[in-house]
Amino acid sequence: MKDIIEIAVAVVIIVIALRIFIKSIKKKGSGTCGCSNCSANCKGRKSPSRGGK
Amino acid sequence: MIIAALLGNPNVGKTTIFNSLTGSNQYVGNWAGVTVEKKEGFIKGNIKLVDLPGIYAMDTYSNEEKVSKKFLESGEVDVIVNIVDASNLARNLYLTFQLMQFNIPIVLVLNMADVAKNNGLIFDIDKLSKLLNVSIIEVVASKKNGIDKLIEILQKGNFLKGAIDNDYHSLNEAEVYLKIEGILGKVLKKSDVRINFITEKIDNLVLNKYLSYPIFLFIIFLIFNFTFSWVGKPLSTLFTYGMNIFIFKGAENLLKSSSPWFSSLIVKGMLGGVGSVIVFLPIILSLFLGVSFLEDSGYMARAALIMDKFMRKMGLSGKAFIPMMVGFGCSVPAVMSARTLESEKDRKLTALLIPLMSCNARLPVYALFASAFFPGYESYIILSLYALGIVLAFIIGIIFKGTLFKKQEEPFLIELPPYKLPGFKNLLLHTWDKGKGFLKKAGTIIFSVSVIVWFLSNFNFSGMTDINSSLLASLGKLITPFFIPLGFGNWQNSVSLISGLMAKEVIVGTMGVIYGSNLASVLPNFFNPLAAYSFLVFVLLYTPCISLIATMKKEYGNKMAIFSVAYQLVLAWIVSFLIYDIGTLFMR
Repeated sequence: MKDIIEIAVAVVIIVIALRIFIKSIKKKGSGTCGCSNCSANCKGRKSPSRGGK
Repeated sequence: MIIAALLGNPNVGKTTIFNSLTGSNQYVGNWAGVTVEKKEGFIKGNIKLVDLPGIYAMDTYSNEEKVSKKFLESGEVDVIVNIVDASNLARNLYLTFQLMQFNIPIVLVLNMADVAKNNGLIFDIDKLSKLLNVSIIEVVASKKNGIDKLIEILQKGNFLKGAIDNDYHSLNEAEVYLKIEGILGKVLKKSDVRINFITEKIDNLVLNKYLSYPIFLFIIFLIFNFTFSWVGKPLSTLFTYGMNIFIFKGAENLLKSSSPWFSSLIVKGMLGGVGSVIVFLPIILSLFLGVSFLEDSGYMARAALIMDKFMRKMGLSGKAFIPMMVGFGCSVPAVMSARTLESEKDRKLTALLIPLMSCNARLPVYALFASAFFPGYESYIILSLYALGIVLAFIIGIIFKGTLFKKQEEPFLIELPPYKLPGFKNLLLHTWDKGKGFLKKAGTIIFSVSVIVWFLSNFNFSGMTDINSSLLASLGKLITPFFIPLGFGNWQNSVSLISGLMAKEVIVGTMGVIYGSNLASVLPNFFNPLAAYSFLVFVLLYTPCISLIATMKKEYGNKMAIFSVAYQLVLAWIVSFLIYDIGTLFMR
């Protein structure tokens, strides 16, 4: 029983870690690091020098 | 829905007012160019407020001015909330006159009304309102005085629509200023103008031809000592001690009866990875406190002025110093703030040099290695890394200026805000604002990479195994030959550097999982001091994190992103190689 609980907890931890990892990659891939200067409104927007607004 | 555009000269407090009106927490600073993108928020009563970058006029060519102009011309704006510095009305009203040409109602907000009064400037607001035919309100944004009244005006919605006598359409710049002077002459009730002598006296000293550089270096030295000797380091040691006693030992005791692999996942994988990074929180907060003090006091703009001479040698103006300073915090907003530069070549060159400014994500790596290999000299070692980044940026800048980015120099204009003693609450808020990003990373990316690294270091295709025959070891061994000439060629260090591409703090987290949580005592078995310094130089210079690569791609395209990654990788390898191999010659 103890082994099953341990395996279940480990699987949950690894799945959560993978989900966070994938989410972070997606977020970072859009060019934001999460700080207040780059998180607001600029996600996915092109810079003016590349034809964005 | 009413759409209100927040506009005004740089550093007049637009974002402070935006935050007060919308309850947001956007970054503010006592220097021009903090906001480079429009940001949106909402006020009760169905009003959308758009914070635009600071501009001096509508007819210049930097990108933030284009952002503002395009937005006003889009026809979406119902009212312009024009923020002006009440202590410098003559210059600020020039933009107001240009805004009137858009035929959009204007609410003129005289911010810093307290500073104006202290300087002996008292205006007849009603008369000014009649002369310009705009609603006017005095506020002190830093103390939130007048904000409620401003909300009330915006909610009522009966705005006045620009000057009745709008013959300024045909006026040139000099004539507009003459007209402004005429208006101010009529509305100035009291003009016992008192010059800010304190600012003038400090500037005489800190901008002195001979003293400015020693003072600048002394200030940086003070901040480093504050961080690595006086406050940050002792607090971090205390924090590490507390973590070892309460968290690691506590978890080990709790998991005594568990299977060894499960205990290893929790203690080594989760706690070891996250814990080995989080113990540097006091150091990071101390550095942020120092930087926030410089920003809020008004010294940052002076630093840009002082550095103008050096920046010109790289083919950049002093204005590029601001993004570079931002780069010491995080390279992502720094590359974005390079948008404030006028020419495309300036923007690209600055963006390429920004990653050489050591961002705070590298700090846990520096602090760990400095305390493990150079105890007692931490400040000097870390200062030397920051200095190396700056010197290399200088050299690379000169090389790029002569090859890739040949261009004419552009003039440099910067506003020097008056000095002010930063408020304690604001300082703490700014420090926390920067520091919470670090905590967020510890709970997300560092946690996830630590668990993945634990898994890869305990398993291979045939199941659970010892670390040396794990998947992680196989991956690390593939690239280890690349690092052997640099003095740190083992697979553990190689995979740590790869994981650092996610975020540089992850290097420490990965090492925590691989080597164990007591890194400072374990690492000397795998490095000698010279190899440790060579490793730190590689961490300083090699390919930035993926957030920055994505930002480079977004701002300047694929070619620039690939070039940035490649040149930094080559530079890091060459400089680390030279340091290790020349150092080895001397140590023989």
